Amino acid sequence: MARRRFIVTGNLGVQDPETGEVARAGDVVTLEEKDEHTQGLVDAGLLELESEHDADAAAATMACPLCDEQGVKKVPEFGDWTDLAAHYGKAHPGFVVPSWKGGNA
Amino acid sequence: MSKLVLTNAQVLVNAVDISNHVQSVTIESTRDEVDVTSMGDNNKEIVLGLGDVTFTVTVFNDYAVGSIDATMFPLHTTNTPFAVEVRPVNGARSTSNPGYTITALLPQYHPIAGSVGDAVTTDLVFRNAAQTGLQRQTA
Repeated sequence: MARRRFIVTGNLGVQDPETGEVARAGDVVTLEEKDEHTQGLVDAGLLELESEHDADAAAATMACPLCDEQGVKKVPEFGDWTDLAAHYGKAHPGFVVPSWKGGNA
Repeated sequence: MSKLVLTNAQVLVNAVDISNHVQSVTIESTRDEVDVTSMGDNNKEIVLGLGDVTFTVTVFNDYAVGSIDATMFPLHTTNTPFAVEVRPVNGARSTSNPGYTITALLPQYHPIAGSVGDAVTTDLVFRNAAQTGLQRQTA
């Protein structure tokens, strides 16, 4: 079985089966991925695979598609649609803000 | 450890520390009293029979992902026993901080119970489900 790193995501603690230490939200524990107990904790939302957590965090920011299209060296990223819309207002006036992240423009 | 005011007990259910939602906890270990009084005896005489253990944990229920309800509901529906442990203080087991453990099932679960204005508390009644009974572990 493969041991994988999981992030504790719930508001309860998760006991490391080897050390007995309790990991809290944001801590990383290494567990057998296919273990029934581990799967139960994942299903309950107590654990999340670290790689997926990182991917989710990365996906949570959105790069400005126009800057990207225009070949800007450092494409700015925004945490939410409102920030992106504000950026459009300043840097790309006249362009329609994309709606792929919850916007309605 | 000297006399203790219970303020930071630790409750682990299926390797999940639910202590920060616990209002109260009680461990009840009983042994049947079997009467073996016989003819000619002047006093009743008992011996201890079968043991039984119940852990009652009152929690403030929490319906968020990765919290109490999401953790307890699957345990209520499974017939696979799981470990429950209670320690006087939230910390490592030691001779002065013993961990009381059972392998348990959760036959009753009340996801919602309360009156208007009340905090939603739920009694989790863990029943012994293995021949190991109540264990007292110090390491």
